[in-house]
Amino acid sequence: MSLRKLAGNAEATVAVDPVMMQVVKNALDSVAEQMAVTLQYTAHSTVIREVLDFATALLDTDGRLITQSAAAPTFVNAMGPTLRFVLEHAAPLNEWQEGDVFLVNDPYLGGSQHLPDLVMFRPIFWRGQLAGIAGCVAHHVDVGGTAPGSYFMTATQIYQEGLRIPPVRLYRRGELQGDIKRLLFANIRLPDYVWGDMEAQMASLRIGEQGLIELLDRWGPATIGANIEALLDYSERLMRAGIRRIPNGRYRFADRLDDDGVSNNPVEIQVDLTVADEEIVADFTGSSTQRAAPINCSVSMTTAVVHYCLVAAIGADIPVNEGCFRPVRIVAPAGTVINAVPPAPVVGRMATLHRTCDVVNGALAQALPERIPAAYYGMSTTTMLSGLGDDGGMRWVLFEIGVGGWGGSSLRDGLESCSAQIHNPANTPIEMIERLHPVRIERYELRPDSGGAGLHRGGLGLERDVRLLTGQGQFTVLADRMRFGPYGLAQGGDGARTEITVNPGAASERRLPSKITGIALAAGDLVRIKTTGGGGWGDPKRRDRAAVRRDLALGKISAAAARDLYGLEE
Amino acid sequence: MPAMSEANMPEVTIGIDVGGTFIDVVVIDRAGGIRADKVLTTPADLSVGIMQGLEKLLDGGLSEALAQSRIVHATTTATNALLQQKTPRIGLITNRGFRDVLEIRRHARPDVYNHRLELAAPLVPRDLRLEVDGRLDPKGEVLQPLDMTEVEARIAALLAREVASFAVCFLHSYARPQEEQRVAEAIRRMRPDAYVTCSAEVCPEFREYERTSTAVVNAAVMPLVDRYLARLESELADAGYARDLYIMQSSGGMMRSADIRRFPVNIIESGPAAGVVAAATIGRQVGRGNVISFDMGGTTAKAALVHGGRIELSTEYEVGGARHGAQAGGGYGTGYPIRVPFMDVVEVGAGGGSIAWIDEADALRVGPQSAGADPGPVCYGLGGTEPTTTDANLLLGRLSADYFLGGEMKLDLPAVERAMSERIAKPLGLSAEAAAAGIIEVSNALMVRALRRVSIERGRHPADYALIAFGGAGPLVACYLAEELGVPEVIVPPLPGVASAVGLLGSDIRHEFRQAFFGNLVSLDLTAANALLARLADDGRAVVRASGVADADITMQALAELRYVGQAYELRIELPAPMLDAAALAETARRFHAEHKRRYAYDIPDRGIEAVSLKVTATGRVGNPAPPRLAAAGTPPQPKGRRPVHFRGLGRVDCPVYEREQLALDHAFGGPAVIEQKDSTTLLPAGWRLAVDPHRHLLLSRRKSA
Repeated sequence: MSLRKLAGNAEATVAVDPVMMQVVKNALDSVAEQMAVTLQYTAHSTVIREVLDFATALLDTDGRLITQSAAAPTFVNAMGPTLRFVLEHAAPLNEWQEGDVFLVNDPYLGGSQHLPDLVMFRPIFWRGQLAGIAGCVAHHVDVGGTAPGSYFMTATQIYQEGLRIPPVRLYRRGELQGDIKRLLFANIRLPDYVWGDMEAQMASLRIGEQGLIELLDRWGPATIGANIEALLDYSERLMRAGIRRIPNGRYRFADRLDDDGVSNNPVEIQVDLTVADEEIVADFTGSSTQRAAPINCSVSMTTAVVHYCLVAAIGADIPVNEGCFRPVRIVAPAGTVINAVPPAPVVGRMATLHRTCDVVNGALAQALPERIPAAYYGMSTTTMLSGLGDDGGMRWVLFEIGVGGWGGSSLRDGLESCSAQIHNPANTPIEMIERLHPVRIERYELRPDSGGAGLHRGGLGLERDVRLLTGQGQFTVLADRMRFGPYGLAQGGDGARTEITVNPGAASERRLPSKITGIALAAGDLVRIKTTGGGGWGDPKRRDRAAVRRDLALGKISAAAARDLYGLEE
Repeated sequence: MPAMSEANMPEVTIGIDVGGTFIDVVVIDRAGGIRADKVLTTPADLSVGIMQGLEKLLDGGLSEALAQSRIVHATTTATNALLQQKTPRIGLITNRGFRDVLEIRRHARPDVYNHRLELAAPLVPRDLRLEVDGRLDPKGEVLQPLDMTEVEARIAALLAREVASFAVCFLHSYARPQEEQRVAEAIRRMRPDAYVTCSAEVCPEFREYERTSTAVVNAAVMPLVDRYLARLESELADAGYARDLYIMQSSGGMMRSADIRRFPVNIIESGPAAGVVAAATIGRQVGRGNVISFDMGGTTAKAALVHGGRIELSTEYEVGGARHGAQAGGGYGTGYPIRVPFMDVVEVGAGGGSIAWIDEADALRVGPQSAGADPGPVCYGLGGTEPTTTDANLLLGRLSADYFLGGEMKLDLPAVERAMSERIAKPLGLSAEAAAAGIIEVSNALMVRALRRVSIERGRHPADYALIAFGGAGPLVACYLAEELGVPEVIVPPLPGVASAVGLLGSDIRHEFRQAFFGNLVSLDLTAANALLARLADDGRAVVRASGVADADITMQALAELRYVGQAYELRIELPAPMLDAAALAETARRFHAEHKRRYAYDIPDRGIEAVSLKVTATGRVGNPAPPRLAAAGTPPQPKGRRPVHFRGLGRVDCPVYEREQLALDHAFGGPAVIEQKDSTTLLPAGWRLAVDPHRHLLLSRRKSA
């Protein structure tokens, strides 16, 4: 491996032991974390700084993930495969030069998930030789295409979703490639905004570069290289030890998306999980064939989901790196929604990602009933309200992600409206939204009766009313769980389903489907968003009576639910 | 006019630092004579322990000494009240449709792989969060007025539920605090002895969740803190104390007890702040403006940075939770966020009592589990069976079995050797000595990470700083940490074990007043900005004057929270002048670009800069006593003995052991050596040289060749 080669015979002794490995691990993690702080605190878009839709990493010159900092595990497998693609098909190692910055977003060329995720790499040279690669990925507010914000929920081909960028050098030897930047700017909305976020990404790459160089100066490439190998093996051992705690067997589970955005046909995801000692195979054969609709996924997402669900189920503190993936094999037939091929559109892949998470958890719950909760809200209710100028051009965009309740578990009730499972978005302060955009948030509450009934109740979803105050707007929705609610377990009830309504109670009232682009809104129109609660766990009739009465007193369940679902008599 | 604070300077200054296990009391007289002692904390009534500590230290002359003294106090009362959930019943009045803001939080969670994550229950349950009509817009315009009849009905409903402390929070109240105040007045009218907190009073800034949470935390701790301080004030007065009692705030400035009783949210990190003030004071005494404060105790280690004599502040903090200062990711929920000025302290869960263990993939780990004080490390012989870092230090010869706490406690070395062998060394295939050295290395790696966070991750290079090491365990590892970070110098204060209490003696009176103020720097409404700065300055000066400080001893500092247009996180930038004009704005912009570049390694010179709030800090300098001076001995230092001690890279080395008390101004020597004192042990590795300064600090410097 390259760091060892780099070291040559200069270092006679190489320290690899359980102690040095921890020292190197802390140092590497610290670099990735510092990269993340820079990106998050200087980014311009709410998507990065509030929704935390980004990740930073150090990789080796074989394209292996060494360490990563991410508030959300969604990106766990985004950078390694992308870098390997770049190395194999675009620019072999010997063509990388100091000061280069590579840019790529094509989900069919490695690990990017959809076009708004711009992946960037910067080589790290130590004493004139390539020693590693800093990488980061972040979700941008717009990359062109038919719909503002590049969320075209009725796309039938990826060409409608925005600019598809194969690996290109945005910088060559430290020189900005103006023609690339101009090409980019000509194809996207709000280019200055996007550029602000790209600058934050590039700053974070430089931080990563400095950080690894300092480590190499301190310890030398042989010691760092050998301990990186030890760390990958260490993560692999932890994964294997964890998998060993899952009873051997085959576990199957299936669940559905409401529709695909273009047609009303539900999308089926199914998994057949085989646990054999310390290895696991997740076979998604039988899942729906890919759609001419934007809910398709690249296989890197499917891998990320399986990885996330396993680590969370095992409940161990496992450093995230390439070693984690070794004991896990994914079978995902090409041409299905969980491993789509071009030109399938992918921008709404989040829906499939969440449902894949539900099915893997559903299978694991059969193996580990004490550990795995009932279904969480099951989809981030993603909405985009954009304001239009007189010329029809986009002037502003309010991108929001609504979460919901956690599923109840063998231990306790689900959390009320909190980010769950594979992603981890934050909300944007109302006082910031009202200052930036001509909208008023008129209500922001927990949604009573939305948690699935159970011995341990599902957490509550949310209700939010948003009014457009002036001008013309367009409203886009990427949601799900309007037809099939989050499942309960062990006799627990399902969580309430998503509802999105324009002007509720008025003559112009209109219920929206779960995936739709470009609903015209006029000044004064109000959108009501109700998100899902989590599934319940266990028989609601056995729920502690005091807990039922407390939920009733707090207005979290209605009197009717207390009586009919929980059997509360009085 | 005579300099009042000089006239006001007491004969004796007393620092009282109340921690979880001990109350540290330090007394220093005008000549610099210093005495310190510890008494056990009395959790049921802290004032009992405090009076015991004072009597112990001032025996015979308590009332006489108190009559001539000023007392500065750091307390964990507010934090403990929250963490132990001993808060009274709180009610919240807020806008219709928004009572759940407190419970919904910010959605993001701190620990993404944990299916069993538990969040702290909201301090106000849902049925005590009541809503009223009325709405403001972001500019403070009234969109819908309050209906006072409805307001009074809600107050009556909360009073009927025996609510003792009220929080009031309306959307956009930072732009117009009057609506909240009308509700507060109504509460006081209906129940004159009620505790009331208005959100815009404790946090006049935007972001409704954080402001509501700050107000609710203030409301939650106010009754307890108020009663505690009232009792302490009266007991001190009965014992002869004549001045105002001062309390250390989380920002490192002290505030009169009377003011703290209204805004107790400011003292959440009172104790750790005192430690950082101590480091800044020590830095001043030895002529170092740039220092890193490193405080390592039994269960945690805390790091903070002082640059140019100034302590770095942050406003992001979560009481009892995961989030503190700028860090990647998100996720409140395991504690209670508050937005007031805080020392930017980074804490890691590793200290002398941290337990070493081997995980299922055969890696050596240290902490976050701690043996605490009971049973404590194996060497205490109180039933501890799992090796800790203290045990590792004993096994390596760095600690003496016979001189722990000055010999008050015998340590059990054979028990440590057995535990180390069985639990760590054999499973890893190492010798007990190598295992112990490994434990220290892993623990140090965690410390280095905390120190990196306050320095490198904030754009500060450790090579430009001296490391001030204190806490019982700090001086034992400081030189090795310094080597990892490239820090050239380590300073160990005279009393490392009670350094935080000593820090209280070096603090100033400080009040910060702030207000949300939005605008792009190039088009800033200067008239409005200056009117606001003038008002904040008047408020600040008035409250410091009220503490009896003369105008000549008051310094004002104007600041702005700034960011590039489009960003969401601000940087705290000092304004070049108390009032703004075109030139001052240009300089402010220059400072912002420079700070952004320093902190994040880039700037965007052509991007607009916007303000989100203005602040004024009023600091009242009080006459603080000079530290004692040390004389030369005229004779070389004599070790009190020798013993084999394990040093990194050298193994066991027979090295001299010195008694700290016997080191004099003209003493200097190189490592390897050990310096022992009652409350701490300093390890001087090879390649390091020790000198003693006139204020009895140990100055440890790294030889260039090392």
